[in-house]
Amino acid sequence: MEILRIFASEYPFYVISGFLIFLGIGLVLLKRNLLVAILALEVVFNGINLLFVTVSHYLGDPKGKIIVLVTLAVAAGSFAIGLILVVNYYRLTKSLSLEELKLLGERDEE
Amino acid sequence: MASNSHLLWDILIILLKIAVVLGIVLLHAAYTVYAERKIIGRMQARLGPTEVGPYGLLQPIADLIKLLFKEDIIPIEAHKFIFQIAPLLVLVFAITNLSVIPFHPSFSIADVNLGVLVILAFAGLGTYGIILAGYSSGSKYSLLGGLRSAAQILSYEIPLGLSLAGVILYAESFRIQDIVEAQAKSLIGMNALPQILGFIVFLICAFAETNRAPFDLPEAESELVAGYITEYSGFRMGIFFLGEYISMYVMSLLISLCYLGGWTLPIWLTSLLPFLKVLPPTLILIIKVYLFIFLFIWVRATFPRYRFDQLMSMSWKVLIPAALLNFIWIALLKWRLLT
Amino acid sequence: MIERAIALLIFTTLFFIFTLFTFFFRHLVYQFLCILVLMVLQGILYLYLNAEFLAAIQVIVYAGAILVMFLFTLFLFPEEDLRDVKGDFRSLRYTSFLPVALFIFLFLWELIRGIPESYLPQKIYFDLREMASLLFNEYWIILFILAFILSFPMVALYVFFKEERENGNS
Repeated sequence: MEILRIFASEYPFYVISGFLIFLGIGLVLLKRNLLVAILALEVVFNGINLLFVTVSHYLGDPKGKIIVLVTLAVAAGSFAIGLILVVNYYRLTKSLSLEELKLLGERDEE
Repeated sequence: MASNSHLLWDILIILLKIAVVLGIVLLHAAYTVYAERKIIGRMQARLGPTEVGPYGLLQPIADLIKLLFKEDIIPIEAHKFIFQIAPLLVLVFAITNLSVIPFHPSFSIADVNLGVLVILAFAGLGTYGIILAGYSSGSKYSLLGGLRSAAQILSYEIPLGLSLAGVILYAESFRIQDIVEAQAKSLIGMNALPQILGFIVFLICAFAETNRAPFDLPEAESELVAGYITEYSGFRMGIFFLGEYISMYVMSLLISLCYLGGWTLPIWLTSLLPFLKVLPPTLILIIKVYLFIFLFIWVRATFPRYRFDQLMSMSWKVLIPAALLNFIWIALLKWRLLT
Repeated sequence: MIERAIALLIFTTLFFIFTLFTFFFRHLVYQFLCILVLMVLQGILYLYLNAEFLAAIQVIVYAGAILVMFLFTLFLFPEEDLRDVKGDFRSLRYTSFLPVALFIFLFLWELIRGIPESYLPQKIYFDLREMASLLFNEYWIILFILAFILSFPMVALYVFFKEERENGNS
């Protein structure tokens, strides 16, 4: 059957990574919360990782998996820094809304 | 690789193996409660439970019946769905560890190439049940208790992984069967003696990972009113404790497989006492596991509890450098062995 | 071949269901739980691509460490900040239709163009030792670059928390 042959090939992996990337973009654009935006970036990252591993499997090259291994470690660190920035921003402005996000530097604490 | 024609038969065999392993381990977990109360009682110069059956042997069954018939209370401010699934998360991730542990050289439910990493992964996923249990109870004290307990488990996972890295480096493989075989071929016969520092670090982390004494700050009666388990009553609380005893068994199985030689005896021992060669391998493993369960119970009766900041500082400032030193020592040893 | 197709079909529907849940739940903790399920499902999906070490690393690092850290920071905020208000979609709603339209267009284009006959992989690398020896012998410079990049978060953490210690806030 045609649909089973489609699902046995590399097609579903592309569809799933497409879901993840567009879910991430949609969450960043459409939600008001700052923490949701940071979570969405991680989802996008996972979609791209899946693309790397799929292509590495279907072309027989092991470098894709090594790239994913290295960038996973880097992403962990950068995500931690992003969360620190969000917590400090909340301490200064007491709000997590993406619409009122206009602070670019230091501000006197009230 | 299973071919299509034998698929049904393979599934049946796996289900049978799961039934055997689950039956034996759950029975052991239920009677470890009884054994603990008896042993702690004797250490404190009193008898344990003696009322229910001959020598109190039917006590776990009485406890089970009591838990089943208690009223199921869910607080009003609780998030109902998360409240109901949080104990299940703890139990599921504790039991799934049993599927990759080999009880015999050719008996394991799932023979994966990465047995040790699967156990580390499920230990990491087990923190979610605790945090969600604390959060969904709807009270600030439960939330704090859950966060403290999760921070404790997370901090002690790192030296656990590092000390296991020394074992994996020595055996050059992630499979537990290969680790046991590498120990059987070595000079001393166990991983504990060349890697004594790693052994001690792993032992301490095993106590902390299962929330057992002396690291049982969340469960102590005088601390935050039993932490994240406060709002749970009846069978849900029973599921938490079942998860704790099963992870106690998983940890002692891991220690006896990775550090004490598993189902093999050292070569110098069998050459001294040749009658030991006829012992079946599973019996040797079970004796070692019982030894460690006794050690768990003995430590609970003996040591006082750690305070939370002492706990955290011990993990980050003492155990991680010790595990790293152990890793460097094993790397040097392996380099000398290979050249 | 056929059980792989059925399994991947089930996984695609599960992914689709949980992406929809993430989008339409209003409370941050429920959205977070759906994303956790997505991460674990992706870890299982790596097993279908002969990347078993990556599957274990994905579950240990992402679902076991990064998301727990995220959950800890979620609980630092009071309850009312974690709830999405009604009428959540911002005024960008007409242009945000664009990503969805792009996705549907790409999906249909792939289907219409047709799937070639055989997509079997040319050489299967499932040996962990081969990958490890490749990483340590040929591409050792990546590890040095990684150590260099990871020193930045450590310095940043020190800088962020240094002032609190000076104010006696430890």
